[in-house]
Amino acid sequence: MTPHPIHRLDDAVHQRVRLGILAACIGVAKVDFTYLKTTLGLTDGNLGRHLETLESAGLIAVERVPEGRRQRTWIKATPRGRQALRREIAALRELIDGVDGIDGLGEG
Amino acid sequence: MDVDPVMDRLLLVELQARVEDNRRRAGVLRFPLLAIGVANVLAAGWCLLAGRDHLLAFYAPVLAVVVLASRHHFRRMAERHGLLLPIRTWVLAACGLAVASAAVSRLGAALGATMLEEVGPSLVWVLGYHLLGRWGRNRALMAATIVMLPSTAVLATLASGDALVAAQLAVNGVLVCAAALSTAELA
Repeated sequence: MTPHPIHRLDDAVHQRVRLGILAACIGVAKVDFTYLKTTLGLTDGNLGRHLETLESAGLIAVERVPEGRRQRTWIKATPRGRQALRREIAALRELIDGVDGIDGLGEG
Repeated sequence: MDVDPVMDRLLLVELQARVEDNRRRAGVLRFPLLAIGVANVLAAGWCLLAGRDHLLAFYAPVLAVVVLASRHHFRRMAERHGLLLPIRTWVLAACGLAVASAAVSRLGAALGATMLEEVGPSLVWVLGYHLLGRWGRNRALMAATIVMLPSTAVLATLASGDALVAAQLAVNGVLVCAAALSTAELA
C-alpha cells in the first residue's frame, strides 16, 4: 500500500516561510539576508529563526561575509534542500489532486 | 502535521510562482549574451582572416574572457541586488556548443559533406541558443533563433566556404546582441 502523501511532508520544510526561503534559493546561486527579508516580508528575528531551522536540517548553507564594519549573510540551498523542496511540491500536488477527486471540495 | 487542502493549494501556487520567477531571473543574461554576440561578430572577422578551421583557437580564449567578465558582472549585480545569478549552466552550454560545433565541422570535412561542414556548426549554435532561451524563459533569445534559421538558409545560397561561415557568425552575432539588448537587466 502506497503511504499517504502527508507522510512525505517534511516538518522542517512544510511551513510557509521555510518553503518560501527554499523556493527563493532555487534557480539562483545564492541570495542575501536582506533580499529574503524584503521578498518574504519578514522581520530580522523571524527570518533568522527560520534560517536556523533550515540550516540545522542541512537544507541551506549560510555564509557570513565581512563587508566593511558589517557582515553580509548569504544563503544558498544545499542539494538536500533542493531535493526536499522538489519532494514537498510533489507531495503537495498529490494531496491536492486527491482532494480534487472528491466532489465539491475541488471547486472551492 | 496540519493539512489544509485550500491552504496547501495556495502554498503550491505560491511556490510554483516563486520557482518560475527565479527561472526567469536566471535567464536575465543580458551581459553574457551581449558578450557572446560581440564574440561571434569578431569571430566572423577571424574566420575571414585565418579560416574556419582555426575558429576553435579564437573561441577558447575569447569564451574564457567572456566567462570571467560575466562572473565579475554577476558578482557586482549581486552586491547591489542581494541575488547572485547562476553562471554554470550557460558557461557549460557555451563551452559545449563551441566544442560541438567544431566537431560537426570536422565531421563534415571528414565525410566530404561541404554543407555539413559549413552550415552544421551554425545550426548547432542556433539549437544551443534556443535551448538556453527555453531554460531561462528568454523570449528574445528564442525569437532570435527563429530568425537565424531562414537567414542561414538564405546565406547558404549566396556564399560558400569561409565567407559563408563568416556571414553566419556575423548575422547570428548581431541577432544575439539584439536579443541581449531586448533582455531586461536584473531589477
